[in-house]
Amino acid sequence: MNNKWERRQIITQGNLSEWFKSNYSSDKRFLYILGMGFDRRMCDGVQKFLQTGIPFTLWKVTFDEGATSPSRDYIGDSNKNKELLESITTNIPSQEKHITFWQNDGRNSRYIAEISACKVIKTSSNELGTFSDIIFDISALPQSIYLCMLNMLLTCCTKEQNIYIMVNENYTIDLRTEPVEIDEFAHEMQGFSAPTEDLESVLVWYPILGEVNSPLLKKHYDFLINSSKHIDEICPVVPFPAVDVRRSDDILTGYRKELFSDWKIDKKNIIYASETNPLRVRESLYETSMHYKKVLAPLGECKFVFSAITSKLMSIGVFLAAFDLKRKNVNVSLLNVNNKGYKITQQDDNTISSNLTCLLLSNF
Amino acid sequence: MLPRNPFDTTYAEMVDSSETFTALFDHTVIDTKTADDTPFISEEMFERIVFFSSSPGGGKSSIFHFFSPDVLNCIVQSQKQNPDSYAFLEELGVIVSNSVRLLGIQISCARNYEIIEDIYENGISTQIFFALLNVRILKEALKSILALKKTDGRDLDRISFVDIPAELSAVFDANWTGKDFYTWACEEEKKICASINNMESSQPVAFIHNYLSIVQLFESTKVLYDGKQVVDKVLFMLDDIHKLTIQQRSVLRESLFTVRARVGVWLAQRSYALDENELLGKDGISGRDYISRKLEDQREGGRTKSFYKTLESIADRRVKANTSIDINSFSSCISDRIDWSLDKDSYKKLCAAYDNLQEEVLKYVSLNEETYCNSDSHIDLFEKTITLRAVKILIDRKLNNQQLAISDYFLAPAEDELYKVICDNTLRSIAEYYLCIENSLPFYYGKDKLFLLSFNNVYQFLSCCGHIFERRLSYKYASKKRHITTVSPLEQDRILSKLAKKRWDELDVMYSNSRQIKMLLENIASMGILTREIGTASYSGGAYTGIGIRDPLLNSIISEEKYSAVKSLLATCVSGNLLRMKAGKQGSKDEPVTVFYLNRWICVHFKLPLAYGGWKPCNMELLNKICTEQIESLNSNLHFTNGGFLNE
Repeated sequence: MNNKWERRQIITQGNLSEWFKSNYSSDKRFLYILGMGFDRRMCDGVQKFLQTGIPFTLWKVTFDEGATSPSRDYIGDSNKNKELLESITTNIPSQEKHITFWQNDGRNSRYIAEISACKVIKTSSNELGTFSDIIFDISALPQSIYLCMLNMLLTCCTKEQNIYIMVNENYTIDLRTEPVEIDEFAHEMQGFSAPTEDLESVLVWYPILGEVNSPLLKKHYDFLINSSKHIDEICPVVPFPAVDVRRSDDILTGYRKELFSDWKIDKKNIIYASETNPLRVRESLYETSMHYKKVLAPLGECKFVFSAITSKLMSIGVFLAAFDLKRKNVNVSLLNVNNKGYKITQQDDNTISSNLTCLLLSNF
Repeated sequence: MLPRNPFDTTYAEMVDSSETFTALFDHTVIDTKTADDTPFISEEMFERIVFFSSSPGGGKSSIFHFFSPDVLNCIVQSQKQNPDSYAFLEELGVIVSNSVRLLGIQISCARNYEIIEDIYENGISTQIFFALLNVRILKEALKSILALKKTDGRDLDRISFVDIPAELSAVFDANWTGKDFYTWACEEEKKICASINNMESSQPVAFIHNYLSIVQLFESTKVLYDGKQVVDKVLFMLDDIHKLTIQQRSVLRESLFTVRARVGVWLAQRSYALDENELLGKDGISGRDYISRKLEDQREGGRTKSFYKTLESIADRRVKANTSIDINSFSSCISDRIDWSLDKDSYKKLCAAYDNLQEEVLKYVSLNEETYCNSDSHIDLFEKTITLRAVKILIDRKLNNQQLAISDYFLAPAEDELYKVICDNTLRSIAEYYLCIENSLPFYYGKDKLFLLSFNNVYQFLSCCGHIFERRLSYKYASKKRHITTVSPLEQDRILSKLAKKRWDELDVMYSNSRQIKMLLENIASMGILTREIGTASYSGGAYTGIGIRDPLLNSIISEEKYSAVKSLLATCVSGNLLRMKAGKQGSKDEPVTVFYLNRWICVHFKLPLAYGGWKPCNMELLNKICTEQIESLNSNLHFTNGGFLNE
C-alpha cells in the first residue's frame, strides 16, 4: 500500500507564488475555499495566491453564529474583510456557501454547525470533482468547522485531486481570540464518532495543548470519564520547537495542577511536537498510536482520543493523525467543545508576525 | 485517584473507583421522603418509569451510579464500613442475604444522538436513533451482568436468555449466548457510527429499531447466568436525556410507555429540558405512567434539616478522604465565631460602630451604661453592638410610623424588659446582618450559612466548602500559619464573596442572553438592597431576596402567548438554578403566591441576607419592567409596604 501522503509538502510564505507557478499547467482547475470572518488574516492567503496569476474559482463560506452571538461585536471587522475580498477578487468567479450554527432559539437551541459544514461539502461533491486542485484556507474559520469540512473534503475527493490547506499561523492572535459562552460538555466531532468502548479496551488520550485553558481541558477530561469510565494513558502534547522557545514550559506550568497534581501524569508521557510543522505533529501522534496499538494488543483494542486545544497548524497535524488512524480502522475520536462566539481580549500588537503556510496533501 | 483537595472531586472522578465513590457518596441524600411523605426511592420504583430532574450538580448521575453493579458489590463487600448504605439497600430489596439482586444498567445519552436528526430524514432518523440506543443498551447490559458477577469478557458465553420476545425473534437466535449478542451489538454499532460519520442518508435497519425494543429482552426472569436467574430486578438508567433533541425525548417517552416491559427505567435530565410549562407550572406531573422526582423540591420544607445533615456528612466524608492534614470533620476547619483579638481591623470597625450606634440610640432610649459601655470583653462588645443595632431597628420602625410607640415597649428604667424584647433571635439575626454589612464586618461564614448557600444543590455546597478547605490546606505550607487550625470568619467571608463574583462574571460565558438574565437578577437584588437600606427589618432576613407572583397571574404567564418573553426568561433562570420557586401565601386571605428566590450565591454577591421569607410582590407591570429595564427607573413606582399588592 502506498504511503498515505506521498507528495505531502509544506510550502512556506516565501516560496508560495513560485511553487504554484512552477507546478501549474493549463489543464488544472483551481478552487479556493475561504471562510468569511472577522479575523484580520482572512484575505492574506488569497492575496498571496492572486500574485501567482493562476485562474481559480472562489467559494466564500459564510456563517451565522446566531443573533445573540458575542461575535456580532466584530461585524465591522467582518464587513471590512468582505469589502477587501471583493475589491481584490472582482473578476474571480465566486459562489457563497452558508453554514448555519444554531437551530431554534433560546433554551431549545441546538448546535448544528458541524453537520451544516459537512453538508456544504457533501452536497457540492459533484462540483468539487471538477477541480483538480482545491485550496482550503482555514485562517478565518473556527476549528470545529474547518476540521469537519476538511474531513468531508478528504472523504469526497479522489486520489487524483490535490488538496492544499492554507493557514496564516499566528498563535498570539489565536490566544487573544477567546471562545465565549462555551458549552458545558465536550462532544465527539462530526465524522469522528466512535463506538463505545469494548470490554477489554485501552483508552489513550492526547490533549494537544497550545494555550492554558484549564476549564476547557477539564470538560474534555470529564467527557471521557463520563462516557468511558476510565482513561488508561494520558499523553499531553506541547509545541516544541516553537517560535517562542519557552512556550511549552509556560503551557506545562499553566496546566501543572491538572497534569501533575490531579492526574499524576508521568513526565515521560509528554510529547513534544513542532509548532509550525503539522506533518511532524501527525507523524509523532500516528507513530505513538501505532506503537501503543502493537504493545497493548494483549490487553485489548486501543482507542485513541484527541483533544486539540491548540493553534491552527498543530490542529491540522492532529487531524491528519486521527484521519489516518481512522482509515486504518483504528477506533479514534476527536473531541470538541461548542461555543456561541468569540471575544478579542487584546488587540494584536504585531510583536509576532503571521506565518502563511500551505500544506499540500496529495495522492491520499 | 483523588485530587489533593477532595472537594474538587467531580462526579467523573468519583466514578473512577467504586471504593472512592462509596467513601464519598452519602446514601441519606436519597434515603428521605418527598413532599407527600412517600419514600424518595421505593422498591416499587424499580419496576416503574421515573423521571429525575434537577439543575446542574443536583446529584442525578451520582444517584444512578449508586445503583451500578460495581458500587453495589463494593457495598456488599464492605458491609462493616458502610452499614447504613447496606441496610438501606436491604430495605429496598436490592441486597438480599449478602447478594446483589438488582442489575443496574447505566447509559449516557450524551453521545452524539442529537446529530442523527440532522443527518437523516424524519422516519429514518427515529430508526437510527433507536438502533444506536438499542445496541448501546445491549452492550452496557451485558457488561453490567459481567460486572455484577465480577468477571470479564471471557465469560460472556455464560449469559443466556430464557426466551427471545416474539418481536425480536426475527433478528436474534434463541440459542445465542451473551457472546453472540455482544458481537452482534458491536458490529451493528460500528455500522451505525460509520453511517453517521459518512452522513449516509439511507441506512437499512432492522424493524426492531422502531422503538426501544431491547429492554424487553432483559426482564429479570429471562436473564440467566450459568443457567440460573441473575437478579430479581432490572433497572435501566438513562442519564443526560436533556442532550437528546425534543423529538427524540418525545419518541423515547412514547416508546417507554408502550413497551411495558417488566423492568425499571429511570431517566435523568437537567431542568432546562423540561417544557417551560412543566418548569413553572404547579400541576403534579406524576401519573399512572410515570413518577417524577425534582431533586431540589425534595429538599424543601420539613426535609431541609435532614438535607443539611446529609450535606454535613458529605463534607465530612470529603475531609476524611484528604491525605494532607489529619482532620475528621469539616466543621473543625472553620470558625463559627469571630476572634476579635486576631482580627484587629474588624475590631476597630466594631468599636466605631458601637460608638456610633450608642450615640444614635441614646437620643431615644436611656440605657444603663454599665451594661452597654463595658468594652473590655471583645465578645460582649459584639453582642452589645448587635443589641444596639436591634434597638435602632425598633427606633427606625417607630420613626417610619410602622410600629407601636417605642415607649410602649421600653418603660424606663426597665432595662430587663428592653433586654427581653430585643433578645428576639429573629430580630438579632437581622440586626447582626445590618451591622456587618453596614460596617464591612464578616457576615458570610460558618456552617449554617454554608448550608443556606447550598441552595439545596450538593455541587454548590461542595464548591463553596472546597474553596474554604483549600485555604485550610494551605496553612500546612505557610510557616507563619501552621499553628492555625481553622479558617477565620473574615477569610471565609472573603472567599465566598470572591467565589460569588466569579460566578456572576461566568454568567456572561454561560448564557447567550446573559445581559437580560443579569438585568432581571440585578433588579431583584436592587429591590432587596433598597429594603435593606431602609433598615426596618420588615422582612425575614432583613431584605427582599426574591419576587412573588400570585398564582392566577403566574398561570396567565404560562398560558398566554403575549407573556412568552417573561415566561422564557423566568424559565431560563429557574432551570439554571439562578432562581428557585417556592410556594407562599400573601395577605390576610392567604392568597397562594409563587415566590422566585435568588440563588443564595447571588445574595452573597449583592450582600443580601441568606434567610428566606423576604420577597417583593410583583404585578404584571412591575414584572415586565424588571425584565426589561434597570431598577433606577423604577424607584418612584416602588412603595415598600409590608405585604399587599400595588397598582393592580
